[in-house]
Amino acid sequence: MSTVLQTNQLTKHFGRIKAVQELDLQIETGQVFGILGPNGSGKTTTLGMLLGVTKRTSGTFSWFEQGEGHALRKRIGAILEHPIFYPFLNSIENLKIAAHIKDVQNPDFDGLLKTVGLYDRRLDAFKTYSLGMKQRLAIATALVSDPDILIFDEPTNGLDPQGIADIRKMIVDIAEMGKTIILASHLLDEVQKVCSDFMVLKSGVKVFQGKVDDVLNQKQRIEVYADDEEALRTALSEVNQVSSVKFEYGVLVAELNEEYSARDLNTFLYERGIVASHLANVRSSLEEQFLSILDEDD
Amino acid sequence: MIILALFVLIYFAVGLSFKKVIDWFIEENAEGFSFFVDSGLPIFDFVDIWQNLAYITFLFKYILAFVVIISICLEYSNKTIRQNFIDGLSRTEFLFSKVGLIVFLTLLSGILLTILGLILGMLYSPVTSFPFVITNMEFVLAHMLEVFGFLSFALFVATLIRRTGFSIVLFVFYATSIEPIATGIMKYQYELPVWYFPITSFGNLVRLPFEKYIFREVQDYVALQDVLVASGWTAIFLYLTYLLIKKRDV
Repeated sequence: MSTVLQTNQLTKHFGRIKAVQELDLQIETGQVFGILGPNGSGKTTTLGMLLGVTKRTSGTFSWFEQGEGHALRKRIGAILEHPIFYPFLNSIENLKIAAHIKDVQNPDFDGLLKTVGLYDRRLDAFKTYSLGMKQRLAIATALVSDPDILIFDEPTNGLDPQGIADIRKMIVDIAEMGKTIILASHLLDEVQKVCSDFMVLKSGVKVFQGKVDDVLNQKQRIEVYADDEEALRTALSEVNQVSSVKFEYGVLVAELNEEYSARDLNTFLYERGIVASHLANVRSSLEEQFLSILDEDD
Repeated sequence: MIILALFVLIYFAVGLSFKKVIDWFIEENAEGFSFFVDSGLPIFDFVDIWQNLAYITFLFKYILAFVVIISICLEYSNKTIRQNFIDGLSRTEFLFSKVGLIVFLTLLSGILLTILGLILGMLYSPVTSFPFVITNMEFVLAHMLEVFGFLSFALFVATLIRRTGFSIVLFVFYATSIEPIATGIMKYQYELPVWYFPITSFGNLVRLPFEKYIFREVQDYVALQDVLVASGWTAIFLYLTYLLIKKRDV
């Protein structure tokens, strides 16, 4: 494993606003790294600094352990915010410009456009594309130099469910090719589905960093419901292994300690004469972890 | 190659208007031509023709300036400059590509002026022997420096403002109103020297020649001081543009 990206005390102030504060970050080869944070938490600013479009206030960063020269960015495929292209040019011409900047020899434009499903529209001007097609072209452009690392910033923003599913599948496919991916998103679900590691930014400060699996496996969550809700609550409160009970969307959600399973809980309830009408093991979602991380920090 | 890519952009951005510019350019000169021939003045005679044409075509540089401004401002408004930096273009390379555009437009206007001069001269000049043809051709070079300086100013204004409409308005307003009025007041009201103003200095490279036909004395050569001042401003504008591109977030 080698380090792809290292930042040291990276900071950006816009006047009085502290967009990013003293960010230390390390990303290794092969990681799919999620940068999570609410809108305005500094995700795009961070990536902007790393990609040389936003001037940092202080701190340093290093790509591929080689510093921050513009030539290193040729080995990165990145899209910040919206897909950006020359609106009057078609896919091929836009790809040619990107390939030229990145010094790509013999790029396979047709193959790329087939990969992202844009081949049929390749000769139409960019401005005639739908948002989904623009995102596809952006991904094709990011892939044009066969980069070691890809950066996506809110890649599914504004897409319909089918488009979101397509783009996510594309990202997962790219990750399986062994490429490192940095994905900034405010969609927790997206990070949960795609990423191996993530960090949480809040008002420009890193409040958490860890592996997605570790966070998700900390606690198991059981949805349970019975006709006699009061009796169920009372019973649950008597079990030591149940750490908390919440009422959510018409069912009770109990968090269990690791050694206690849904089966144990069901047996216990049955012995108490309570028959559960609903019992489901739900994977703890990143959303709750995320919200609790943000809450803890307050 | 980047320049080539940008030409493609410009081709689409300005598109056919550029061809129209050339048509217009020739048309404009044809009109001027008939007027002056009717009045029987030796406007298109060799030796004189270079200064005359170089002066007449000063309007052409405004069109070129719009091309430069639009090219820069489109990069900012479409944010393609941002994506190009993300893709690994350095800021210096970006500036070079735009300066390349200016050089190209300058060469283009120089070549057009030469061709136009040769055609009109061959058609209408009583003397067409080679030594006379090339005499005073330094006015073509002076014209090119004038265009290059003017376009550098346009590049600077566009990079500073980043909005197409506002840039063009401010640029034209400054070049045709603010500075001429300011220098006019200084010159005629207070008798102060005005040679150091940028637009004035570019304009001074090729001075108004026609007054000599009514027997007034004119500067019928390219003065070294004018060249130096104009070159100085050009360097300043390019350097300021470099600083803007280098230092600012995009």
